Amino acid sequence: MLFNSVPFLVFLPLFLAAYFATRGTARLTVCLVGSYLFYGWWDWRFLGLIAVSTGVDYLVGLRIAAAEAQRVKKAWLILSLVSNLGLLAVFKYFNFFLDSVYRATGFFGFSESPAFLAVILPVGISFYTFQTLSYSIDLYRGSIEVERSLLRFATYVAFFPQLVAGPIVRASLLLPQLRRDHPFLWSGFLLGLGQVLLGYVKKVAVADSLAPFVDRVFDAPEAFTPLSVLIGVVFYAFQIYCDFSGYSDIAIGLARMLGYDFGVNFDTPYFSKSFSEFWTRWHISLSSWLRDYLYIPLGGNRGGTLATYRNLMLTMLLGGLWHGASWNFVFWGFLHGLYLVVQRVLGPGYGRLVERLRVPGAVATGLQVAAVFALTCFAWIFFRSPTFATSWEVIGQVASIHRLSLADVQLKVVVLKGFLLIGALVSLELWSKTVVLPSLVLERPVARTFAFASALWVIVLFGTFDGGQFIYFQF
Amino acid sequence: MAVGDLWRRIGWGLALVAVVVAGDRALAAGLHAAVMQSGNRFAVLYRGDAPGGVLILGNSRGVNTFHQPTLEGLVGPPVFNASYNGMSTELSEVVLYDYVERNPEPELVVIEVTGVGADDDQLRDFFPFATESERLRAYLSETLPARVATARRLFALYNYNGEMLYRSLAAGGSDQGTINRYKISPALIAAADRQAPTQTRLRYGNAAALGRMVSFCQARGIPVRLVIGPYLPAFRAKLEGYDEWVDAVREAAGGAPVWDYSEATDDVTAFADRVHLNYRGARLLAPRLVEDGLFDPDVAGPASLAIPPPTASASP
Repeated sequence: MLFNSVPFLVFLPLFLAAYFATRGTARLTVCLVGSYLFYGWWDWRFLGLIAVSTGVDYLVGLRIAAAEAQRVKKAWLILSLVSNLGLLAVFKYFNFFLDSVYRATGFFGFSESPAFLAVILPVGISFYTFQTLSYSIDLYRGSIEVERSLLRFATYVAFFPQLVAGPIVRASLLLPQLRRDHPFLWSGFLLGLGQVLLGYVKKVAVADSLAPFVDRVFDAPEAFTPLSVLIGVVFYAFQIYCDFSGYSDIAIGLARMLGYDFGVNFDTPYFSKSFSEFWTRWHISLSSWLRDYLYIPLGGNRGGTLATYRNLMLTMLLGGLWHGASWNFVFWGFLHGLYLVVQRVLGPGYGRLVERLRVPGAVATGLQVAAVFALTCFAWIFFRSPTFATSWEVIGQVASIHRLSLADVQLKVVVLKGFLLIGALVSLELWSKTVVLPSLVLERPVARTFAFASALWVIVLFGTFDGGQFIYFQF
Repeated sequence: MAVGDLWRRIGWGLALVAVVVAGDRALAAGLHAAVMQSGNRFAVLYRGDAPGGVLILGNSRGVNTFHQPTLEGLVGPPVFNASYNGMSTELSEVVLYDYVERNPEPELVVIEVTGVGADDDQLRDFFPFATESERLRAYLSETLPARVATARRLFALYNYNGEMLYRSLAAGGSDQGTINRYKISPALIAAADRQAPTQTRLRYGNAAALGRMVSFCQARGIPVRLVIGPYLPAFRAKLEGYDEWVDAVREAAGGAPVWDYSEATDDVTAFADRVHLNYRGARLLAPRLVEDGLFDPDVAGPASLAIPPPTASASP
């Protein structure tokens, strides 16, 4: 079920009624059944995968908790890692690796075509496997308590607001919240509803309005003028941001309406002054997951300069691969790893240069934000392009810009609408940095009424209602 | 929860619904006024401010083949271009009848006929004018899914969720000069050279509409010109069954001659893409159209017809 679909708009009020009418085990049952219905609406056959992942990690959790020897705990943890990563390997990466090997051996003259698996990627598999992995690892580390209720654990894995596209809510955050009943709180309900509406505005009005132009540019860059291709790249940066952060806002808002706190997943990332800051503001639940379960276990920044660079590169390469089974995603991860390394090398020098030249703070910050945004856009080219050939074609087009003239802008009306929406979004985000929006809006009934009504008007006036999928569903 | 709190929250919910509905209607009324007062070609048409003279109808090829400001300087009577991106001939038919009802009768109607293959991809853009024309309203409800009609009834603002709003706001005094100003890229020319042959298309509903439009004009004594604008030569070479398609168009139009300019120029810099001239191309083409007598009602047909009209003996 998609958040931006009619079935979901029917499902949600029914679910809310059943949720608040029940308590304890009955409420958990409502959550689990509702979540399985939500997921099974897409394809019920893949519920089995969630059930397997749930069952394995539930049992592993009990065994880790029961084991006294570290060696035994480790063996059970390895089983969890193998089963979860195995699911990912089969459903997400098997054909990719097979194809890569086939191409590599083909280069040396072998031409035997491998037997590819005829599987489709189960929606949300990357999210719920990482979620259950965090449970097993945290349990092994002794940082959380074992969950003995299968019903509660299954609800933790499948809880519908975050099931298919995150945020990746760790066991340490969600399981304790599932252990108590949350009464209906009007203030929490309104806060959640406000965030849900904001999420819909970002997704339906902004991301889906930018999508057609972006799709056309990346489908056939040669059909566009260089300036239009550049606009397509910038539009994609905002499309993916609004699409994914919009989904997160809806997920986090829904959880708030039900009384749960999922944390923050995006924090105005395009205002970042450095790439390390960017990664503390973009898809925070994934970047912090990679930091805690990959970067730090690899040694983090504790093993000297070169080891730190290696760890950064490895983390970002795997972060890229997490997004999808394609070398384009890997290269996107490589670029971000490179940015982080280069920033560590050049960052101090930049600071000294700014001081020596007495560049005003605002100008220096503006330059940093612009540079981070431009390089992020450059990396997005590889993320969005279906092939490397398309990426190079897009880069070639952008590099051939020799003038900035309105005459070179294609589909002017679409571009005008896109920039209008981006401008409004950036203004709202800048404003939200100077005021506490929730208290400004939600605590005043008149302001709240007009804020909610405005969100609906914006959705109706600018929204695209073609049932556009969320980009992160494919991951 | 206290009963007082409950009633307060229900009251707030009802107030929210009332504000949403009232604001929706008020904002939509404001946008309607803004669109109708703009220089958008269809606002001009539905206000009844179009000049008569030469009326041009068609899809985006109509927009980019006939640059109104250029033509107006070359042709005697005023010129009004009522073409629109993705416009089907069926929609052009609605616009033609609405034009004639509200404006001085045109002296000549020029139809760029490639809209016979169109599916009205941008039909929703015409919602802002639905209140102005019963005919357009009926066409919209026949053509679009029922859920769209429901959405339009629920939210008046939904009628302005389309390009027409932005085109109107950006139109200034007039949008008649709107045209692609950029030049086709070498990569796109190369892609046209490489591309597979492509089929020309004619949809039955559009063909029937074209026939009715021609009959309507003939019954009123308004000369009609059926025109095919230029294509990029490499793309034109890939159009399969082109001659048969032109025959079918002519037949649908009751045998009216087709002024075929599909191969009018080899100059690739005159194109914005494979199927559209740019500003330069339209400016280059305009004098030739005038010289050929396209806008002269006394000229019966093109002198150098690529596709001659059928003779009596050739007719079935």
